[in-house]
Amino acid sequence: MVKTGVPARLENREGLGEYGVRWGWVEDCSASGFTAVLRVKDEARSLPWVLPGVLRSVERVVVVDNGSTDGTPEVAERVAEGAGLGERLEVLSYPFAVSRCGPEHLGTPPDSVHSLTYFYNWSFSHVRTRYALKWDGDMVLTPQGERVLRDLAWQLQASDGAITLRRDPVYVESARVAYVDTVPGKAEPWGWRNSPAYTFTKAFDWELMLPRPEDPVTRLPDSVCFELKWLEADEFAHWSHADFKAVTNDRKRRDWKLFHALRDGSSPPDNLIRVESPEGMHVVEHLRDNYASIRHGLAPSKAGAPVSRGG
Amino acid sequence: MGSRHLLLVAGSGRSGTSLFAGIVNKLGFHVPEPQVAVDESNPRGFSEPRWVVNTHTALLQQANVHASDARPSAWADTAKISFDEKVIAEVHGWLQDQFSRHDQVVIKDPRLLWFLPLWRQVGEDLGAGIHMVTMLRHPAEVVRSKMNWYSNMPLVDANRVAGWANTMLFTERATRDHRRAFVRFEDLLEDWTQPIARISAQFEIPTLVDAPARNQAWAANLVDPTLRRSKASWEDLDVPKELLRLSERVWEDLLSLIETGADDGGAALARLDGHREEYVSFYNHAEHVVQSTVLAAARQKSVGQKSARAPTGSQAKSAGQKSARAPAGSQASSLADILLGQVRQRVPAGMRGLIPLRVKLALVNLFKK
Repeated sequence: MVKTGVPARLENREGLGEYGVRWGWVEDCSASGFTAVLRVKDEARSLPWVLPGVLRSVERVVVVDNGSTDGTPEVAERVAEGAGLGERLEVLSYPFAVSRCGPEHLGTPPDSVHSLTYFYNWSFSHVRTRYALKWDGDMVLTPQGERVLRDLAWQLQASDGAITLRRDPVYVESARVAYVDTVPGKAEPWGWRNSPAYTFTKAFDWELMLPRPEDPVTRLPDSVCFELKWLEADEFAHWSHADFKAVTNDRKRRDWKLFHALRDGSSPPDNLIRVESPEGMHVVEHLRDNYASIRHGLAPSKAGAPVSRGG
Repeated sequence: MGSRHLLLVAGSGRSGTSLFAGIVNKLGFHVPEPQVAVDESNPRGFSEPRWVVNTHTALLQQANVHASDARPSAWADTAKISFDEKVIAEVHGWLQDQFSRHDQVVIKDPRLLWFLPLWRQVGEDLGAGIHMVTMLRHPAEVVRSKMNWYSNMPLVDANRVAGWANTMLFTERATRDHRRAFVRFEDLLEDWTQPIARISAQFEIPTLVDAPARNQAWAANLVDPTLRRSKASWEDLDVPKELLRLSERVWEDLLSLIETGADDGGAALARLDGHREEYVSFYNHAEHVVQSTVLAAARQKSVGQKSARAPTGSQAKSAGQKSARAPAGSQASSLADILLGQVRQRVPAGMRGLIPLRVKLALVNLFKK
């Protein structure tokens, strides 16, 4: 058994007992698999692409809505019912304004319901399976990713560790055109044991949760998922500034530069692949089906071959 | 379904996997060449592609996993290796080459069960229909057969049975949700046509039963009931009762899947889930119980390493050269042999039965390292 001194209950400084953190750690040899936790705000547009794959791949999905105004909770329920997997979904509401990444986060105590750290711990305290999977409301699983997650449920049954993955941003320009950024980002922890060893703490810009050095880490293939960024939307609303740090926020700097270059029609950075879907097929669906071959520079199986727009 | 079929034959070694692969080979499935050479342990051939055996062996070595590893955590180790995109690309390239010449390919290797998701993914990416067959043989027969043919391996009975339980429980889980079938070795020997006809219908591969008469005769020639040279009896096998009872329950529930596959309403699958959890818990506790032994060995190893660095002079140099030439595994094996031999000599068989399995497993695993 892991002993870290983390209490199984966390209270918030506002004294809101209803939103106290009550961990449901699983310490036995359960084969209960993964619970995906999606913390979402105004993701109604992305969820129809995101949820079905996740629902098919894990035991349980918890969607935590944080004040959406676009009907995100209703969309989540409708999509799950439509996929015939409604019984796997639980939708929760977290009705507090959460500090945005950056200085706003820095100024918020970690035991406040307004803290990202507290928000994450509360959200993940609803996991009741052996493993937790952090998932974003804009991350699309590929068919390969679905297979990988389904297998990991039994492959990791006797292992106490974490999984890391990389997700490439995909900038969606229209229903038929998108751009894949192929510059490799860093693989980060997205899945871990539901145990006291894995809870969130506060860092300067955001919440933090890292595997212990002695824990085994399984790195997933790069083609398991991609991250949607809609050029029409405000993709950086969860940041309180755009002055990203050169080292720790290097990736975010590139995302910001690329997003605005594409949206404004100016010259984007190199290493983008332009993808156009066949007529009648949405580009996200096309990407989902052909992501591995597109990333490897191979022609996808359907029409609309990727066109390199940079070096 | 397209014309490409990839048939993956899994199961513990000595369970009739070679016979099954040999039969479907005669009925039209291609066994990629070159194959592993025939030997006395398998006089009718292994039906194992040399490339597959070499690749699996290298991957297992990289993951530090033994072909019949009893550690349930070993599945995470082989999963990690299977996610390596270079590995995926290599297997993809090799299988693509096979499919460029043959539509029906059968892959069999006792190590295959550690890499089923990898082969399934690559096969699907190449547009093949994936079919998985798991051969079933009573664990006591498997262990006796392995004792007979793999006697060079310093594994005790209990560890071999634990290895059977681990590999079969997780192979069942790995093949779940896919097109799969279970075949009992005994049934194949008794009347090979019935299991093959069932699989042909279940997998929608009519070419198996529609094979020319000459091919059917070749398949029939492979089946020799005297191949079953080990019988199912726990007598004289030194296995703790708890593990024996668990293995019997696993065996019974696997047998129940022969007729139903995964479609029995889930009752057998739920029981197998329970057995798997019980086995993981059993093994974890075994590791906890022998912690003192592990720590003692680690201390001894540390002392040994220090003294190995210390010697000077020609005698020490010579000893060091010998040590450097000896493969790491052979040193570990000989140490295990010596220690286990001493235990056997000094402790009567009746008394050995009283030693908890956990202690035996830990000793064996420890000395192998």
